[in-house]
Amino acid sequence: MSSDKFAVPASEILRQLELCQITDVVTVPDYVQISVHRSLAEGKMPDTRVIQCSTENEVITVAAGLYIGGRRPIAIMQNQGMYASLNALRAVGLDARLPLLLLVGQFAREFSNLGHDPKTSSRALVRNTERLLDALEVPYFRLESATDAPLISKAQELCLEREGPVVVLVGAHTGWD
Amino acid sequence: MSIPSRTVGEVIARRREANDIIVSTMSAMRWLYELSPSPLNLACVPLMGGAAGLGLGLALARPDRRVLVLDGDGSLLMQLGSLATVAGQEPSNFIHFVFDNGVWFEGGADLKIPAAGKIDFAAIALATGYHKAHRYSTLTSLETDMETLLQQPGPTLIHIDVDDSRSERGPWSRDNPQGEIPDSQLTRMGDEARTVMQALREYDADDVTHSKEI
Repeated sequence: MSSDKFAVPASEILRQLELCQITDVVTVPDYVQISVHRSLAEGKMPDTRVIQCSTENEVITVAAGLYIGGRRPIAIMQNQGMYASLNALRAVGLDARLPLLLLVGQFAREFSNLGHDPKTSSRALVRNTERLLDALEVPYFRLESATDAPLISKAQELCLEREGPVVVLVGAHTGWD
Repeated sequence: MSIPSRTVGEVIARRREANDIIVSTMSAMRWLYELSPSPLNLACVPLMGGAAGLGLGLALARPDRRVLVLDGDGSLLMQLGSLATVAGQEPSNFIHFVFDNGVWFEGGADLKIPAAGKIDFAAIALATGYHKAHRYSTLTSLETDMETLLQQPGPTLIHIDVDDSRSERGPWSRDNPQGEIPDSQLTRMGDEARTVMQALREYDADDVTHSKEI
């Protein structure tokens, strides 16, 4: 079984980042979004800076610093990274109430779960990602197919409006087109 | 040997320029706001480990300004990889102070951090690619070099051996327990972030007005 049917093309994600006027991508790379990382590395968004961090905690704080300084960053990481950066997310997003847009890949989501509710995944890492966000009262959107890509723009509007984090969960490996 | 933390603060405050953004955390925060009040001060609280990342983001966003990060040893240990993250971006306007007192909860509990007294943050910073890094344990040498340290292109790390200022708050005990954390401690970073943003917007607006007048 492949995940192609559920893939959001990298080109479509980059198009959404352009629509959102993203100035900086702050990241510890995501296995799910390798094609996005590759497109960025190939210079498909030449006016957007890519900042590699050592940990996802730093992704959160660097993105916060960029925002305070007047930039429009997006944080890209895996679900594992989101778990790892919870305290930074709490401090920056929930207590400091700084807008933060995150694109988080559902690493290790079994292909047989695609097209179904991720909360029913057999894997704890996957099924608890949304539950964690629910517990933190952080809104999220699911990218489950190419037609969901505009949710990235919607997520950005929401994070600016609510002055807090909003997560876009990338459910399947992003496409190579 | 070591230097009183507040004395280090006085040295930095004397040379701080009005346009400098300062991100502080832990013990350095305690004197900064008294010695160098500014709408461009940002407390990284309560988030140990976050100061370097926050400062890096600001430095990259505002290459027209110096960004000074006043970090703690325990705080930096939590995100030691941030040295590589900073070095990888090579922000020339980034100056990273590390106040090394060797303890967590300075004055209140003085619990030793791992490898207290053994860590050479300056050496680690150079090994990750910081352009310059220095260590100071005497006031005279720090004062002599401070002007150069602040003017040279970064990223620069300045590791300072500070004492734990025991006299400032006294050890916590049954009769002198640690206090409740107020709401303001949780909202402070956000409040100050918004103050910084407003100050930067006003500066930019003034700059545009001034350019038009010219």
